[in-house]
Amino acid sequence: MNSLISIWAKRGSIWAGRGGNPALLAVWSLAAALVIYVLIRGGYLMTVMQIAAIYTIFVTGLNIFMGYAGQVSFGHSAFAAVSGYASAVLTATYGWEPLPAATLGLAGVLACALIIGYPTLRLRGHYLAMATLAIGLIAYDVAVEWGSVTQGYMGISGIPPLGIGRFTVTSDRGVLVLLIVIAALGVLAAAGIRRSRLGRAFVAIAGSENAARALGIDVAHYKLSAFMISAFYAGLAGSLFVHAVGFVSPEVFGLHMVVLAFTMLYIGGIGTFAGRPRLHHALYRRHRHLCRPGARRADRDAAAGDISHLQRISGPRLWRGSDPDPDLCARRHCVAAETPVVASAQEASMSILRLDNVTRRFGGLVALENVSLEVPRRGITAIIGPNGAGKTTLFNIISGFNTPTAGNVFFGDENITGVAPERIAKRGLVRTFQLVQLFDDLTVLENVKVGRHLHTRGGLLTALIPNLAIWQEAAVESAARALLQQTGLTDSADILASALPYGQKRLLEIARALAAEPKLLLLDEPAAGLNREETQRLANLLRQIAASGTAILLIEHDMSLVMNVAERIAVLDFGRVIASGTPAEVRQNPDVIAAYLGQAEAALA
Amino acid sequence: MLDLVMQAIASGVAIGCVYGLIGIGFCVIYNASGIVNFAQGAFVMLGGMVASAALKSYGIPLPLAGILAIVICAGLGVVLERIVVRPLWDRQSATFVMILATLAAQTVIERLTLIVAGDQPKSLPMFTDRPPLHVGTLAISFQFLWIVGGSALAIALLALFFSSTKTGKAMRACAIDRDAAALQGIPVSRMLALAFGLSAALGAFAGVLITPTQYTAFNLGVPFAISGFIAAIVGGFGRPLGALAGGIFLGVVQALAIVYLGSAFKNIAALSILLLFLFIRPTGLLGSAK
Amino acid sequence: MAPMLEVEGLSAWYGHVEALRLVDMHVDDGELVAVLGPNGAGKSTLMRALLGLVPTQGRVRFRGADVPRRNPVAAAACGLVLVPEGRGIFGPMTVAENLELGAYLLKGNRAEFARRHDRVLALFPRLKERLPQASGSLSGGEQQMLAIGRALMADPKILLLDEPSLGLAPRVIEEILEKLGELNRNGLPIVLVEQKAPLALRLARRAYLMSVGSIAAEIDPRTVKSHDELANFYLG
Repeated sequence: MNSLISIWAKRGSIWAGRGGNPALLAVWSLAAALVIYVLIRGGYLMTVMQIAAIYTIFVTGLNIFMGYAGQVSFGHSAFAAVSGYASAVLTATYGWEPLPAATLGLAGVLACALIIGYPTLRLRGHYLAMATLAIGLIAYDVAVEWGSVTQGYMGISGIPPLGIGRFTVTSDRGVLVLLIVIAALGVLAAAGIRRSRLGRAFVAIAGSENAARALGIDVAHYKLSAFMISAFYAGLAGSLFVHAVGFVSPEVFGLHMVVLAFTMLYIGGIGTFAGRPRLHHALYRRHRHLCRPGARRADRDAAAGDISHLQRISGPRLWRGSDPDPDLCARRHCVAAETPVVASAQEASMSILRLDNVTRRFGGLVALENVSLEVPRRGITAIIGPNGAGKTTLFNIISGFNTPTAGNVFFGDENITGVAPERIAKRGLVRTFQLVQLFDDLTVLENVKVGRHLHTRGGLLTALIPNLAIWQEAAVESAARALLQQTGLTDSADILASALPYGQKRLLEIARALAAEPKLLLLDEPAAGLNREETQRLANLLRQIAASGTAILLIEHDMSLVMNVAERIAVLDFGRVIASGTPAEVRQNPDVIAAYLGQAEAALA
Repeated sequence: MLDLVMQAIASGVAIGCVYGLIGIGFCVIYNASGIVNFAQGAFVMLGGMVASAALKSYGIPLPLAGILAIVICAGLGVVLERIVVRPLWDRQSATFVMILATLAAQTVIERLTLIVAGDQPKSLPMFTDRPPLHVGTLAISFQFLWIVGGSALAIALLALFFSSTKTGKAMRACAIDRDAAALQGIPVSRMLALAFGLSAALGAFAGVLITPTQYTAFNLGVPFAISGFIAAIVGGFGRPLGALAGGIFLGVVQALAIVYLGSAFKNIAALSILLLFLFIRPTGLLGSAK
Repeated sequence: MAPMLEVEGLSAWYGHVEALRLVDMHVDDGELVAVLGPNGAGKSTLMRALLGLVPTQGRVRFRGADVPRRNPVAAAACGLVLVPEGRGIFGPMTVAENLELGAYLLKGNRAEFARRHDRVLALFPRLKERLPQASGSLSGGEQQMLAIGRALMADPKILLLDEPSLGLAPRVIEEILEKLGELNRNGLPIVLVEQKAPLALRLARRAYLMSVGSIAAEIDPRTVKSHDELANFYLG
C-alpha cells in the first residue's frame, strides 16, 4: 500500500514540477473527473470522490495562505467548522434554505478570520503554528461542548442537500458534479490570484518580508488578506461537506483534517496549484480505501504520517513548484518599453536626504552618535568606514526599519523619522539589503514586477477578473522587461530568482528597486561578493542610474568601486562621521587612514 | 465551597508539576537546537503505556517498570532525533518543516501504539497503597506527594546536571553558540541526540507519575504536548524553572475553571491561556531566557 | 623542514557565492604569520575554512596529516584552535566554566587540567578575580583575554585569531598583542587575522594580503617602507 502511495507521490511531484497553463489543467481535471464520474456507479467510491473534491477546495485555500504567502496554519479546520456547523444548524434545526445559511456561515468565517487574524498574524514561526493549532483545537472543543447547539459528539443529522428552493441536488452524481465544478472554480480563482498583483505581493512576503516592505507592500494588510481568503475557502469546504454528507460531528473537523490537508499540500507541491486537483482524488482514494469499514484508522493515519515523513526526507524539492508566468507579451504586440525615468529636475544643489544629529543607542552601546549628513538630489554619494562603524544601522534608520534614539531624518521636506518602511518607500526612498533579499519563489521577471507594486492598483477583484487589469499588467510587463534589459538579465527572465548566480542576484535586486521609480536609491554593499568584472559592470550601471535622475546613496567596502563612482563620500568610524568630501579629499585624510589602518604612529618593523 | 477550591488547587498543582516536566522537556530541546519537538507528548503517553505493559504483562515490579519505561523512551527519543530530526537539521530546513516532521512522528507513534496496544486505556496502580493524608480539610493523596516530590527531584537532578557536569555544560554551550562550541571540540550533533533522549526521559517520567491518577491511552500524546507547550510559553520559552512555574499556573487555572465553569471548559481554559500569552506576552511570566 | 600548516588550493563557498578562491599559504613551526586585508576580503572565511566550518575544496595539511573536512571537532582534536571573530565566549556561563569547556577534549587528567589552568591565569592575571563572574559581564578586553585563555586550555599546536582587536581600545590591544608575542616567543605558532595592519605587522614575520577571496601578496613586514603603500592597498 505504501509503495502505491509513493508512486502516486512521485507522479504528483512530476506534475507539480511542470506547472503549465492553469486553465488547461482545470479543464483536464474536469474531464478526467467527468470520465470517472461516468464510470462510477455510486456508493463508496462516489463518496470518496465527493470528499476529495471538498478537500481540494480546502487545500487550495490553505495553499494561498501557506504556499503563496509562506505562512503556517494548523487551525483552518476551525473555519470549516464554523461555516459547516452554521450551515448544519441553520438548515437542519431551523429550517433555513442552504444558500442563505451558507452565506451567513461564510460571513461568520470572514468575521472570525478578521478578528483572529489581527493578533495571530503578528506571530511567527513556532508561535504562529501553536496559536493556529490552539484555534483549531478550541473550535473542536466548542463543537463538542456547546451541546445545546451542536449536539456535541452525537452530531447533527438530517442536513438537507444543496439546492435553491425546489431545485435540490439529491443524486450522488449530481452532488459530485456540483462539487467538482465548485472545486474547479476555486482552483481557477487561486490560479488567477497567483498571477495577479495580489498574488505577487503574497509570494513576495513569503520570500522576504523586509524586502517587500522596502518596496511599499503593507505586509500586515496582505497577510490578513491571505488569511481571510483561505478562511473563506475552508468555510466553503465545511458547508459543502455537511450538505454533501448530510451529517456533521466534531470529529470531522479534528486534527486529522489538518494532517490530511498538509499531506495533500505537501505531495502536491506546496505553492503550486497544478498538482493538487488530480492528486487529491488519487490520494484521498488511497487513504479512504484504508478507511473503509473494517480497515483500521491506525493504518490510515500511520500512512499519512509516513507520507508526510517520507516526503520530508526525500523530497525537499517539492517545496518549489515552478510556476512560470504565462507570457502575455508573446501573444500580443508589445508596447515599446520606456526606461522608467524619475520625475526629475529639482535643483541639483538641494539635498534629497538630510540627517540631523542622528543618534542610536542599544543599551549602553552607542551605535551612531550625532550623525549629520546631506545627500544631494543628483549623483552618487557613498558611506564608507571600517567594520562595525554603524553603516547598516544608519541605513536601517533612514529606511524606516529602525528608529533613532535622537535626531531626525528628512526626505525632501518631510520628516520621515520613525515612519514605517512601506510608507517611506511610497515617498520614493527604496533600499536594497546587505544580504540579498530576493523573492525566491518568484521568477526573475516577477521579482521586478513586484517592484511596480507602488505604481499599480488592484486587489482581490482584479485577481479574480483578470480582464479588469489587462492594460495595467501589460504595462507592468513591459516596464519590467525594460529593466531586465538595462541590467542585462533578459535571458533569465523566466527562471526562479533563487537559481541565479550570485552576481546576477545583486543586479536583480537593483532592477527590482528601480521598478519602484525611486527618487533616492539606497544600496547596501552592492559589490559584496562580486568579482572584478561584475564590479565594473555594476559601476557602469550605477552611473547610468544616476544619469537618469535617481540619486544613489551607497554603503561599500570595495574601495575601487567607491573611488570610481562616488562624487561625495562620508566616512563613519565608531558611529561618528569623521570625514566627508570628494574621493580625493577623503583618500588623503589622515583620520580616515588611521581609522582603517590603526594609528599612523605604529612603527612598521 | 472553599474546601472545593482548595482541593482543586491541590490537584491543579499536582497536574501542573507534570505539565511543568513536559514543558521542561520542550525547553531542553529548544535550548539545544531551536527546534520545538511536537512529539514530546508521545513520550509522556508511552511512559505510562510501557510501564503499564511491563507491570501487567510481564509482572515486573512497579519501580523497575517505571525505570524501564523511562530508559526505553529515552532511547526512543534518540532514535527520533537520528531518523527524523537529524536529516532535516543538517539540511537546515525551515521551521515549518521541522514542526510538521515532529508532528508526523507524533502521529506515527500514536497510531503504532494503537495497533500494538489497542484503544483501551491503561493505568498504573498508585505508588503507595494508603488512604490520603488529611491536612486540615484537605485530602492529600500519596500520589500527590509522589508527583510533587518526584518533579522536584527530577528538576534538582536536571539543574545539577546542567551546572556541574561537563556534558551538561557542553550542552548549555551548544545552546548559546553552536559554532563556538564546535571549536572547543564539543560534538554538537551528539549533544542534540542527548537533548532528545533527556527530553523523552523527562516526558516518560511525567507519564509514569501521572498515570495512576488518570488513565493513559494512545491519543493522549497531543493533549499532553499542548499542555507542556503552554507551560513552557507561560513560563517564558527556554527557561526550565519558568516551565515549572508555568505548568503549575496552568494546572491551577484549569482546576479552578473546572470548579467555577464546569469540566467542559477545561481545555478551552488552557488554550485560551495559551492564546492570551502568545498575543500579549510571548516572553512569558518570567521573560524569555535568550 | 616541512611547514607545520600547509594550505593548497583552498576554495570555500557560502551557498553559491565563492568566498575563497584557490588560496595557498603556509605556516612554519614557531612562526607568527599575519593575514591582512580590507573587509570582505575573505580573511574570516579562510579561518573558518581551515577549521571546517564552511564547505571547502582543496587541501589543508597540519603536521603532515590531512585535516578532516567539515569537522571542527576533529580539527580541534588535531590541535588547530581558532579564537573566532567576536570572541564566541559563552556569555551566560562563568569565566571558570568557559575555561573548563576550552579543555573539553582533555579527558579526565586532573593534573594536566590544573597545569593548563594555572598557565592561563599566569598569562592573564585579570581573569583570576573574575572566575566566578558571568563572562558576558566582562569588559571587551577581558572577554578577548578569556577567549584566548579558553583556546589555550586546549593546549593548541597552532593558534588562529580572527580580528582580536575588533572594538577594543588601543591600550587594551597593546596588552593583548604583548601576550600573543610572548606566547609566540615560547614556541606557539600563531596566525593573526587583522584589519588594522600595523598592529599585526609589528609581531609578524610574514604577512599575507588578501583581496576579494584570494591571496594578493605575501610580504615581509620589514620591507614595508611606508604607511602609504598599505594605504594604497586599502583605499585604492
